[in-house]
Amino acid sequence: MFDICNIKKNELDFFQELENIGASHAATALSVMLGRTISLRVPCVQFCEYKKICDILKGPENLVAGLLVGISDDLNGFILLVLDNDDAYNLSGSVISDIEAGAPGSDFSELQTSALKEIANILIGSYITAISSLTGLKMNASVPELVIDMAGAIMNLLTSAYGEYGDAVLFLETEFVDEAQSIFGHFFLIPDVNSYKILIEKMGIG
Amino acid sequence: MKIFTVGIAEMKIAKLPDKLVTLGLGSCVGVVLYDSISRMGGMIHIMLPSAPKNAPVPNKSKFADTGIVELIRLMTLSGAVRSKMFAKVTGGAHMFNTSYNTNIMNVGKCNVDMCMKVLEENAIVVKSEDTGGNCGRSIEFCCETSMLQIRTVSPRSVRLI
Repeated sequence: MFDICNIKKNELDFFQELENIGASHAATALSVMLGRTISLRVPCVQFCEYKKICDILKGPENLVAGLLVGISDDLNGFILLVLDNDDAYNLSGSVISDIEAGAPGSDFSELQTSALKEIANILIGSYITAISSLTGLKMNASVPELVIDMAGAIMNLLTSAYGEYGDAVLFLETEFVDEAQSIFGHFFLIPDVNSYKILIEKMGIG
Repeated sequence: MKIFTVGIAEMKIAKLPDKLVTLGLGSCVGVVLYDSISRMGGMIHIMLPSAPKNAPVPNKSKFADTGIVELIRLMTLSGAVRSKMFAKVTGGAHMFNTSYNTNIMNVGKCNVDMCMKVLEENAIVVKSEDTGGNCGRSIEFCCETSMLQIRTVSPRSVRLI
């Protein structure tokens, strides 16, 4: 069994580089779509105790929008894009006209929901294409699903995916920043434990 | 009155007039046990249904099968009477309804089923429950009234069970 608690330094470095490449492709794609600059905060590989995981998202009760995509084929797992509720609202509003967006503070309109899913599609699509061509491993992404709820409830997905293996969660994380609107997004790649092993073997660094 | 916060995969015990709180339950399950004689409450925030077999379990509170039994043991040690205990069960939501369906996606239901099974095996009556659905919950148990308050944010609601 691949032991995520005893991951080696060179393995972490490799995942860090993978995240760098995937995330920069995703940021470029989103910049093109929105017609303004999207920058990245240093992508990182996080090895986080599950007790602390909600601190990344300002506590377990913070209202967030979570966009989830399942990954299957050679690599399996999830990609989760998490935005503060207000940021998700503004971001979705910025790709559709003001008339179609609801008043601030109201629920997401159908069009806004669909805009958010499309943003997730573009980010995640370019991210996995970059990683696929780098590693030669195939990945298929499912249709994104949007859930608006407490951060703790959404992050349960990560904790239950790794809960059996230890007291920590391993994920690749990048913060996207839309400086014109101060929108922050967290992007998590959460391969299943077996996929970590496949990646390490494939790159011959095991 | 003190309020004790129970983190993910943790358990805590409190006595009258204190309160027990856990925040942001998604597919996780919050189980409260209460002994109405000693007025002692115990809360556990369960992450997964069952502990891996043939392996040491460093943190029993993570799993329904090992966690509930351990909570009963700790409460009994602190003076609660097992035969007077009842349970309240909440959480176990199905957060993402994606077509990409794996075991992880069904973990909420598996968690609830296992909790019910373990409680039944230990002859503890489930007095009330609020499980499943697709929204996150925060819960607060009051050892004075033995009521469990459930808060959701999407949609916004507060109710007592």
